[in-house]
Amino acid sequence: MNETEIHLSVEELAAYHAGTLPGSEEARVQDHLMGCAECTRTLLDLDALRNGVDPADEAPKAEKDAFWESLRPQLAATPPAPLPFPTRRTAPDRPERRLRIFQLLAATLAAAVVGLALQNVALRRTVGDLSQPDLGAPVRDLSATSNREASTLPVVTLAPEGRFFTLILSPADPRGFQEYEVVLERAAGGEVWRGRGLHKNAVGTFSLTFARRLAGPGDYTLRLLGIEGARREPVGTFSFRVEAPGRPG
Amino acid sequence: MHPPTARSTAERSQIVRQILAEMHSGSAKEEHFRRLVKLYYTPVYQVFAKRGFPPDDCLDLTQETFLGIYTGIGSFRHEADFDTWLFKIAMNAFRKRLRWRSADKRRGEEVSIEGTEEDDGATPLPLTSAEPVPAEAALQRERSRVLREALGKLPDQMRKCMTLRVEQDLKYREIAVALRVSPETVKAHLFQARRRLQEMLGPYFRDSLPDGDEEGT
Repeated sequence: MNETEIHLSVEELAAYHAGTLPGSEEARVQDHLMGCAECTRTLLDLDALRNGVDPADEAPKAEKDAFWESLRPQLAATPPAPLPFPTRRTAPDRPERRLRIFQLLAATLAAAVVGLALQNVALRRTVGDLSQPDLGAPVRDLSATSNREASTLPVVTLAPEGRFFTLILSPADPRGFQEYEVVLERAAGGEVWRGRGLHKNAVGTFSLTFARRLAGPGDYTLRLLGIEGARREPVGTFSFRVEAPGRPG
Repeated sequence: MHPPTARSTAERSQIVRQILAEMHSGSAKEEHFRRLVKLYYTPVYQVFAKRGFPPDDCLDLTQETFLGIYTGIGSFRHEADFDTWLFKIAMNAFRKRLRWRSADKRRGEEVSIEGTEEDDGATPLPLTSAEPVPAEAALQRERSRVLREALGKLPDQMRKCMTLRVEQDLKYREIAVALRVSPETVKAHLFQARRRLQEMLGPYFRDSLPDGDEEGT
């Protein structure tokens, strides 16, 4: 054999010996053996090992015992072999665990899909409702007052199916600010909504439209703040009541 | 190659599986390994003996092989053939020893340049070469070339049988193993190959062709 040629691996020879190589590979191995005495020797040794020893050539028991006695102390000095076939022992657990994780993921994903679908339906319905004109939506002028008696509160009366109402704010303070902020609070306490970016209209008032969904029946206080740079100053406080007669059955 | 012995390959494979399973259980690991050693001691030893190692080296290499098996048995997968796995460990030990030998040889050559105490210069340098004289060498080369050409004209399987017989000096059974055919097929091919080569090359090569009667089956 050419000295530079690479020898066949033990695995290749073992597969050839067992007859498990495909035809083209078998021919390649055979061709190599023709010119490589070393690989042929290895194949013959493997064959001898696999086919067992002729009983006449079997080493005597005493020789084997002596060999074992010489080997044994070295085994003790050798790091103990790890448990054989660790993957075999753990292999059955892994697919099950993987399966559980996949099942969990699939369930979570399914729940998320269903949730998103429901939310989508609800949003479509809301958008559909809001897209409809609100006929006869009330408009109420409010002037800034303080300590107004509950009995004298201006009232916004919503139609049974009314969804919006509009407030016109007329502050007494004549100062002008860059922009304005509105804070809507329940009279009993608790902020309902806060918005910034409000500007005076051409006639010096402010108009705001609220949804019934945000500000349902009840007493409210609306504070108007003027903003100039980092400065924030109260411009007026408006109190009102929202009333809604019962919806027709 | 030996014919299957009293303990067939399948039977031994079953025993090995049993031993490995018992080692796996963790109890009396050393005692189970001893059974494995007793089962494979002779074939492993013979791998090295057949390669011309002296008995002490054969024992060393056999020991190295079994230590390799003991430490590596945790990585052995049952998908692989245990005999192949064991054989690979033995071949690794063999190749490692060859590397040591060649390294020793190189060191020895370096020392010999300086001379040794035993080297008193009494040993005469050979005055003649063991190589054939140029005329003989040329004749041998020519005979080899002619024989190779004639071998190339034989049918594929016949040529392979003859090549292994002539160039690697293999016996019938060894050729049968190398070509994965029966010894009877090898015999028949060699018989036919001899006849054809004699026809092609004439009586001049008759002495050079291996005689089938010389070898045992």
